[in-house]
Amino acid sequence: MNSLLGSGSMLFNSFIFFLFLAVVLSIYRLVRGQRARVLFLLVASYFFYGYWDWRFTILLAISTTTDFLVGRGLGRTDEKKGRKRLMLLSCVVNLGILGVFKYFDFFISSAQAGLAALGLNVESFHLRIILPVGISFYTFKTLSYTIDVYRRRLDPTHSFPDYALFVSFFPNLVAGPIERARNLLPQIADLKAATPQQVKEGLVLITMGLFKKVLIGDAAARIVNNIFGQPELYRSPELLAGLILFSIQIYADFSGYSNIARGIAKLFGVELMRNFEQPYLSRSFSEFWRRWHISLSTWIWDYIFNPLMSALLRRVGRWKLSSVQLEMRIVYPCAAIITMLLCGLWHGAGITYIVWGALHGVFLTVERLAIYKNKAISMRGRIRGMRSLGRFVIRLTSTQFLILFAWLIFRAKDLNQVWYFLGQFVHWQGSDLTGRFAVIVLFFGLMILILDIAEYVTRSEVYLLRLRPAVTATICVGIFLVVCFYMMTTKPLPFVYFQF
Amino acid sequence: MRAMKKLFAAGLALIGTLLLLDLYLQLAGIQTPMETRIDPTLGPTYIPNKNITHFNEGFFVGAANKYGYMGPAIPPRSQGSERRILLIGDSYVLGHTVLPRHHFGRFLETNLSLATGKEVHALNFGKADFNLRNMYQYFIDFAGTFDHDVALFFVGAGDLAPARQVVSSLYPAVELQGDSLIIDRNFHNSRTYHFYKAIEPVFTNSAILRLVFNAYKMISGGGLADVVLDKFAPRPAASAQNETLSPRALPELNRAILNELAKDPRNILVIREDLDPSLRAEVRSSGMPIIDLAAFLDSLEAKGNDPYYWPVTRMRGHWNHAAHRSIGEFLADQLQSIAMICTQKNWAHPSPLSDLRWNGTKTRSR
Repeated sequence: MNSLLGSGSMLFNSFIFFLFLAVVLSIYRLVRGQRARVLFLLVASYFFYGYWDWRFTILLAISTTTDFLVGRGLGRTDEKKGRKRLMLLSCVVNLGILGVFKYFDFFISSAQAGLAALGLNVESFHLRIILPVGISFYTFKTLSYTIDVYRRRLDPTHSFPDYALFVSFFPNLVAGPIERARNLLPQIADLKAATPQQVKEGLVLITMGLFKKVLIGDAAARIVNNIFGQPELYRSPELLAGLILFSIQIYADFSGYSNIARGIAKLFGVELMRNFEQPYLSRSFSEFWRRWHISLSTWIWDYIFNPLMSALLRRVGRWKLSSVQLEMRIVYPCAAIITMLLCGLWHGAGITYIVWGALHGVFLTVERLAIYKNKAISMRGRIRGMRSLGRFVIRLTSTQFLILFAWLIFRAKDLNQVWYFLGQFVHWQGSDLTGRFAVIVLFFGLMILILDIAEYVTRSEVYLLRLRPAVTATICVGIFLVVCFYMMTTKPLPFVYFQF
Repeated sequence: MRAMKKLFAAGLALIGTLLLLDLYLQLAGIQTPMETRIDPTLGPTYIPNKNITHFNEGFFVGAANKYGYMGPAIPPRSQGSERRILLIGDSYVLGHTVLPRHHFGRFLETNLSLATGKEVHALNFGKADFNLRNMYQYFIDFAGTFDHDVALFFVGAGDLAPARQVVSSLYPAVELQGDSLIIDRNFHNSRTYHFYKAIEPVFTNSAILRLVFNAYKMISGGGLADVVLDKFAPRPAASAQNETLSPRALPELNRAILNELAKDPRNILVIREDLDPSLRAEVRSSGMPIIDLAAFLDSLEAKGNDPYYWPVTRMRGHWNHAAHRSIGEFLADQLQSIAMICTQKNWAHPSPLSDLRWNGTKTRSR
């Protein structure tokens, strides 16, 4: 996977992408007419995706065509059975492609291991095919369209180019945000040149996104990859530093990517949804999931959790239990754990992702049923006095500690590595480099914290625009130049979420 | 007036941003400012006590000690009971790809300490881009001033052959005058030296300027097209891709250096990469003891342990972690077997240094 995403890939943090963007933007400004703009962006998006490997575009085209036709079919028929069949067809095609390309080898390996445990040796049958970049993202995007049309929450589009561009729009094609058709299709149907405000916001978002991705995420990754790649070489404080740095890396990497994606979309006059809202300032797991990868968590909420809750409640309702609360106590854990298991599986075909998802499901359940007793946790807590501050700090640190533990499972190569890390933390072995690693972690953490606090306080991602225009411009130029110098001498690393 | 105010505010914002970024880059260990300064006698030397972080095929977090070399601060004067080995060479010896405790010098120390029952110190005087001439000068002027029992000079074909002889106005130059070797330190009169001295205070304290310098080196090395154009970068012509031929002859100056080093039996040449047979024969004729590390590294590779492959970054480069460990153990064995370090095995022949001359039978010859 890494070799695929190294040289010869159109990463947002590469100069070839800057060139591509400059050319596409320049031509886009010259193109007149809605249809011509859509077609031009469609060609540019397919070129962007095909730059990795042209064969990937075939899968993208299959998925797009299927869901467009299914949507048209759903729009034409009111027959319940026919609609269900069409919906099923979309699921089979999309999830089939995802299953074959992403999960086939994993399930075969798991089945093989299971049979081996029972004493049955089966010959290995692995496809060993390359995972197409961003397949999970565009599959969820197309599925959401079909489900919304099926539920009659959205009218099917009649323009194939519009729909194809909705699926393949290059700013959010390979790693989200997983935009809904309800938001993106109307914008594509009426593509306009970006307003001056959108251009300003776009440039600030791109600059800050590059800073987060390159100077925080990639820089931390250089230590993280080494430590998780050969943990046996490192001592307890270094392993802990590696784990904390990973939690910083994955956030800076993905939120930086989302900022760049949203910034680029703005330059084309398109608004994409926010994907992150200071998740590491969360005081509960439910709050964390409202702030982390928002486009995925809302997708899962809408299309998995809610339908599952309804189905389970209907079933449990038949048992005639004494109270609705009791029903909730049975249904919520089941729904939360199943949903988060699937969320884990979405992230990757591996046991660590499944355990990570299940663990978050358990965290959400315990928190909801045992700690907060169904009370919603507000997104913005007010601190009044020392007691309130103390509660805030305790909730924040305990939540973040458990999230950090879950990241260990997420990042580890396998569960043995998780045990190895935990063993090293229990049997603490000091290092002469503890101080150095502590300082490194502290300053990575401080930087990401400062950026988050600035966003939290100003309630804006483009807080730099609150300064004088000349000051904003020079700050952005300064950051962009330093990022460029760094990029010149360091091989760009792919975004962590590309592999999902 | 308004425009001036705006300009002033913008300038202040730019300076403030760059200063904050510089501080962040340094403290988070993302980029170390220039870690060397130009000494008027030695040329570029490590700044004492400078914290250094390096990323390449591996990564390094460590510091130069108070004497200006890598590793624990061992003072020039020996305590008497300890054994000291000087490690002199280029970036392979410097080892800025592994943490200090994973450096082969540490394994060498551990293995020899176990064998001798005495304290053994391996002092790392490696410096990136050093060739034999630089090593000789550095040894005479600096490393050799530290009490030692053995000095290991790590060389590859490029260090011995003219292809890599870099004449720089920042380094002292070793020259041959008649039969004598002299070190010309006139570099400190050069314009380049004065220019570097002038910018040194800024360069040694700014991470951003180091980034700019690295980018400049990349551009002047012709790497810009690859970085910017990626797949569209023009590919070098097939003829240019051919490997350069391995050098066959030893330049006169380098022969003189080897002859000079051979006068002290404590000096040993460690050949770290394959040499052309004629070059090898010339090197051998200098009479300097040789440890054939190249053959050992080849044997590692033949066993499927590529010493240059980095599994995490999937790059080939300097010696990897496993190679460092193996090299440390190998060198410890070699030093014991050629009785350079008195151990229990060769206890019957303590201090044979003055009698030792390499006869080519103790290590694997190729």
